[in-house]
Amino acid sequence: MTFTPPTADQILAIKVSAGIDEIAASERFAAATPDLVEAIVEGVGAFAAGEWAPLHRIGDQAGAKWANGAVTLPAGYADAYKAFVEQGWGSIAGPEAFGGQGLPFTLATAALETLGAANMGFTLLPMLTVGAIEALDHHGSDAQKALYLPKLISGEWSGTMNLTEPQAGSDVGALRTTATPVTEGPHAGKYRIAGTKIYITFGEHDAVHRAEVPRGTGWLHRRAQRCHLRIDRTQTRHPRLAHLRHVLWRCR
Amino acid sequence: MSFGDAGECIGEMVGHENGGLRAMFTMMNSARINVGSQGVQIAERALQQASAYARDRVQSARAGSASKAPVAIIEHPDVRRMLMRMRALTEGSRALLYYTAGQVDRGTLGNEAAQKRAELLVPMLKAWGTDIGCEVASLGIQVHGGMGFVEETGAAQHYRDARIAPIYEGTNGIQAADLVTRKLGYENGGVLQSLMAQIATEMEDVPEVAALAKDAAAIGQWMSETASLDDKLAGSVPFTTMCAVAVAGWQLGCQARASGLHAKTAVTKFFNRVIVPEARGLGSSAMAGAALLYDLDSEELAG
Repeated sequence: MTFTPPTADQILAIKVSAGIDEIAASERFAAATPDLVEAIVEGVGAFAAGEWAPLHRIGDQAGAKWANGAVTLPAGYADAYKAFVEQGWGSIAGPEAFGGQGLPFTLATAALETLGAANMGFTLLPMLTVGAIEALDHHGSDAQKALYLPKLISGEWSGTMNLTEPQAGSDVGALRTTATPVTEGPHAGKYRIAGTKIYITFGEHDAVHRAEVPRGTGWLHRRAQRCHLRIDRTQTRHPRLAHLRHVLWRCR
Repeated sequence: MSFGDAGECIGEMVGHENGGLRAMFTMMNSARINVGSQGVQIAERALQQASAYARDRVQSARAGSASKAPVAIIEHPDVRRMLMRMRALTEGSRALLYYTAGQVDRGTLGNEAAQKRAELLVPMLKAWGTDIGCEVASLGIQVHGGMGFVEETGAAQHYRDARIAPIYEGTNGIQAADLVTRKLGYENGGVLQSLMAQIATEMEDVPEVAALAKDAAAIGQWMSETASLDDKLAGSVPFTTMCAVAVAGWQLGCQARASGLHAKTAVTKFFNRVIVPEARGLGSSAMAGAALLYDLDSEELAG
């Protein structure tokens, strides 16, 4: 069935409940004028209704497929994600220094709300990227920021989250994945990761080239030290794929 | 996914050793807000689909009508009840979502009180937002009657989509525990108390919402000062719902006042008369205490 973005109610909530005019009275968010707010909410509404909503059903019925070492999304998803990246809908609240628009979180919230109403499963992809951007922006080194942030903010690369382990669900402290310092060779200074993660959403698929692992929070030296890790997807494989469809796409 | 089973699996550290968990929690706020938003998203979609069906589906004459001609089911009182409920919960949770987002932006601008308030609101939004996502999606199926149970209709997909959200990104039970054990402790309960006091003051002319805010404040005080940890945790989920509904009712009221829109006013009135009193009714459950939960030992309970 067709999806009509709830534009008027969103704009009312942004004005009255978020109080966007007060936020835009600051120097930092001065660009968030009423015209811009309307342009974003209406623009993402048209995009979501036109490009993402029509894929909602096939995402449920066909799902993602795992074959020959690769995950393929249902027909149309890769192109729809490309259009999302080209139109910049993921970059709204990203820091300007790395290609973001530096706008209020409120407006990024509106974009995600609309995209998710059109296609909730698909919207987990940009939603998880936001987490990776925040982690790197707040805690990454300058080199990590320069390398990863522009591509994450544009959406060319995406973020994922690897936290849950079979024995560690709500109890994050029960994690067993280890990160052991590499002292020699081409990876010196980095960490060797070992462990099993489950319930990974949008870890690897054909819509982006590389995935971030912002919450690969693992135990270093057998529960001695905890750190935050980034792992290239090309360096992992998936021997336990009984629930791949569940994990990578449907997430239920 | 198994890391390191096949050759080299190399990662680099973001931040510093022993700082990972704290680093993770800095991004937890927006992640939880965005999951709360998923409840709003599914609710919106399910509402649209159910509304369209209720307009088109003709079934039975209107009760009490002289005409025996069947009417669209949207004309029947119980279908209206469901649609109004779906709409009130959708718009109420959206109001809570954007109120929270606005507090986050103020926090980014250096307003520490807003930052604390945002952190207080996050578990309310995540838990209640995703709860209503399920409720609205379930009502959406109900509006469709038998067709709702038929896969091709598409109403069931919304419920399946909605059902993950109370689970991931910290189950709603974990959210409620976060509210009563961590967030309630902010400024010795002051962050919650100032929010509820503001609602009670600004909603003086909306007795239902003002009363709910006062109830939530009183229960918050009981939890802060008197209740045992077990008692707090036992009542945490209903307490979280009460707080969330108070904020949503407040913000819907603000939107109705500011816009003067007929539809917003009607939806807000429904929210105040139906949803808010239900939330007030949760007060006894929030204060029932943990002893009731342990009258049966684990063997008796699960055996």
